[in-house]
Amino acid sequence: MNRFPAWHDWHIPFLGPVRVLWRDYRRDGFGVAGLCLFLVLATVALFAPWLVPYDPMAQMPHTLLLPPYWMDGGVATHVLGTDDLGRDLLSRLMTGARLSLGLGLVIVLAALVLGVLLGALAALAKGTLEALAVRLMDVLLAVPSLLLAVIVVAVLGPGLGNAAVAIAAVLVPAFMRVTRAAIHEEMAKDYVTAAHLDGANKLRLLTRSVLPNIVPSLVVQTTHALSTAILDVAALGFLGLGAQSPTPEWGTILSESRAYIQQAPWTVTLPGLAILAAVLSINLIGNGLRNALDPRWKR
Amino acid sequence: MPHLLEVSNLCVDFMTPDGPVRAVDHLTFRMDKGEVLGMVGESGSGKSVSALALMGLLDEHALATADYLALDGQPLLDLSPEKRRRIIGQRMSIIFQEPKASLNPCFTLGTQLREAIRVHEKLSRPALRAREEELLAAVGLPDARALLDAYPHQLSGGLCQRLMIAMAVACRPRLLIADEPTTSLDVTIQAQILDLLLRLAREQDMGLVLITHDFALLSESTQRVLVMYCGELVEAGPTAELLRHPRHPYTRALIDSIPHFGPMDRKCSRLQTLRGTIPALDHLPVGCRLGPRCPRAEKTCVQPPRLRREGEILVRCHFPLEDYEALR
Amino acid sequence: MSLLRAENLGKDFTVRKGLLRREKRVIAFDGLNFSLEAGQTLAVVGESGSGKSSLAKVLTGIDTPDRGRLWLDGEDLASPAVRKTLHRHVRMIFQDPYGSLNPRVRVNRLLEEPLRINTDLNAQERRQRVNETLLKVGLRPELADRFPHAFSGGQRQRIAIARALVLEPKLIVADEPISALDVSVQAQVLNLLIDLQKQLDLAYVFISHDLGIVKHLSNQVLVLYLGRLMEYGDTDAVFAKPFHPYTEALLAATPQFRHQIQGQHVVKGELPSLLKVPPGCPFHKRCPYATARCAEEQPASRPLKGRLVACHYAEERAG
Repeated sequence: MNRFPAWHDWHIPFLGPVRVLWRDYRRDGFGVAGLCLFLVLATVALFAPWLVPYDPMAQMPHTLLLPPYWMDGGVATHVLGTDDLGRDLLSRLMTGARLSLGLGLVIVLAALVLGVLLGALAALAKGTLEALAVRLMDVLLAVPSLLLAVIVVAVLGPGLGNAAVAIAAVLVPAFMRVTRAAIHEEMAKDYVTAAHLDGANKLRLLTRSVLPNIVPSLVVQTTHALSTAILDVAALGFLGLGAQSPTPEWGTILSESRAYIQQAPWTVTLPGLAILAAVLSINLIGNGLRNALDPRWKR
Repeated sequence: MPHLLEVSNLCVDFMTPDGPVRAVDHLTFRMDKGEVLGMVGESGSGKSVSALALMGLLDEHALATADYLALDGQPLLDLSPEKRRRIIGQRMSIIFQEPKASLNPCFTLGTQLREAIRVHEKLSRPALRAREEELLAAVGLPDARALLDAYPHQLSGGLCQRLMIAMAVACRPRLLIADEPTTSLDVTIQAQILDLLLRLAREQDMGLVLITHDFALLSESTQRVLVMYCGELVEAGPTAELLRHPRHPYTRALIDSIPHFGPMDRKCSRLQTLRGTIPALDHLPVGCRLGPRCPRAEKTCVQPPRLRREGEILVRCHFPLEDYEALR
Repeated sequence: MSLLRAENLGKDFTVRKGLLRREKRVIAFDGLNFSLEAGQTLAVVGESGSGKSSLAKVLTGIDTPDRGRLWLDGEDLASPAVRKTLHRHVRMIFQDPYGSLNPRVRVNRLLEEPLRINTDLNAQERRQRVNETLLKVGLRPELADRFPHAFSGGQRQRIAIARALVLEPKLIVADEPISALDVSVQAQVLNLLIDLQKQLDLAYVFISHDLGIVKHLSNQVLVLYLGRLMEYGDTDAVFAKPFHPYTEALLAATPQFRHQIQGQHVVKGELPSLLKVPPGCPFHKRCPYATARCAEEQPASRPLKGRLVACHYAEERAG
């Protein structure tokens, strides 16, 4: 009998899913750039307390509204200048990165867990319950997320914690929908039937067979949600519904400096750029991941 | 008399992120007028890619080159790309494996058939109608005007394939390429479609290229067969002779792997097979591409074999089989 | 005693049509009688809509039959206790080896899973069983920590066969197990299936549309058309002289057997939809021998020379 032909083992490269993903991801220059930018931001956020040149809360009365280093009148000791209370802008932005990225991440993870759980339940539900869950998701998804967050904050009261809860709640329906759709799609595939024939029960089917296969959809949705979360945290901060001054949160910084946009445009531009950089890097990563995970790109 | 189709050294390279991959390697063949030519091979053999290359249907990731290409005695490579496309569009047609996937789901079949006619000739309304009926009758659907109001998803695969054929012959092509035309269809419908294609080729004096992975399908319908493996032509010759005495071990294996087919049948209970699988095109073995799978491979086989003539047959092998039994 | 026996087996499914989504019951298959001995192969032949895949689902216990009875090893599968352990004794191989192996699970985990669920072997025993099974199907156990995508189509189908074998079943239902593979690989997998049958005394229900393979592999053949039994009997006898015109039409449409059939080679007409099965004999509209009687009266399948045939004129055709 023809035993396993040893000669052709070598030509099929053995790569785990993560390495395949990295191989495909690397091809997208924008994606790699986004990842680099994100890593820089994440490092800054992680080590901000040790990296900041000044205490972000410390007011220095002698250096009010100092322009950045490269502008006329700028000084090297305050690279990005200072705000109206003489606080070092670089230190405030670096500390703010902790809030924006870190809080964003926490929010998204919470929404992810809740959304996947509810989505899985919705996917397994049958009949009226299923219809009810789907319609509820449709309704929630039809309301603009920021508006919904504002409503939630209005009920709970302003503050960073409440804003985070509100944003997380708003992100859940999207996760639910993605989860439910992906589970439905996977459940129809042969390998699930095969696992069913192995004797696996519903829970085992879901956790062992289906969930690992919907990870790609969830990863893409997560990046999407992360950029939304960062924007919404900043927006609520700007509206005075999220972080309260003097907390160095990007949206709050922006809102504090609004009055000085004529005299000191950098106090508005720089936090704006920080938000832009964070959201852009995550969107680039999301795009790159989507392309890398898309089976059409695979050989 | 000029040949219907002459192809010399057709190569197709696919541009991949890891560099170019050659899917068709120096394919040379000729076809006579009204000939039915079979092209047989497995996945990755380059049979479909060469058909797409001839039709000019490859996407931008592929680069097709050839030394010479002539249709009906007219060299095509000297022409401007636009003119070449027009000539190819007028004189050659292709049908594919999945008729439903090749039809536009948003339009009725009638709209699509009329479009296919209109591209090639300007006809008045009554003439267009007459031509439609003529085509429907030709593909074995007389009195089937009602079908033309249907959308592709409303019809069976067999009916869609008949309409695809009607569209393909609307321009009265000199050459029809059928790429696995029956593979996705049911057994009894397969036979109908194959019969239809052969009848059309005969009646309209049209050349027919039948591309398939199934040697049995070609055995009765074709005059000559090209056997492809990993982008190369490995053997070519008259069908009957090839079946009686294949020279290339790969051809032999293709015949033997079909139960109850070929001269070896009923002499042993196990099917004779090649070991291993088809190598990926970007990891081809050195020398003869069948080498690692071939039961007769020797040291010489690390040198790439050239096509050579053995009687009526062209074969790419250092050690062509002497007769059918020689592989033991 | 037969390993598998079916008596008047039938299954319906419901379709919803129209704006009101009214339910309509459609017969997937009906009135099937067959039996299968240990170590033998029953081939189920039919075109699309013949009910062969629905039959596979019923035999493997994914679906329950709506009519008739089914016995495995003499035990009636209507009893819940028997159904509960059915999946240990009857395993399935799917058509598409790319779809039937979970892409996110390493091969050894994939093969261990049925053992984990259905046996109380410990980790080492499980690993040993997996390795033995991999060797049986001609794969090297060292490769088992790879993901399915590292394997070619033929190797994947070997993995799928290993998964079916790992519980040491009595019966394997194979739904077109080689039609998705390349020709030269098809023969390898076919040979493997034959070798395994001999070694392990396995029984196969082999669903296929390829009559050449059916003839090569099977002892008995069950020919279905639109869910109805057309002809059932010993493969060699049926192929040598088909009693039913549909069996004849199938043979005539297969190049390898065409020369055995006299007369018209290609049957006319399309396959009817299951929603509109013609009255009378389901095949009468395409049958070259049909008479007025065939359009009115549905022929019952009846024994004839050791076969079951559902044709009014079977006796005359059998000569």
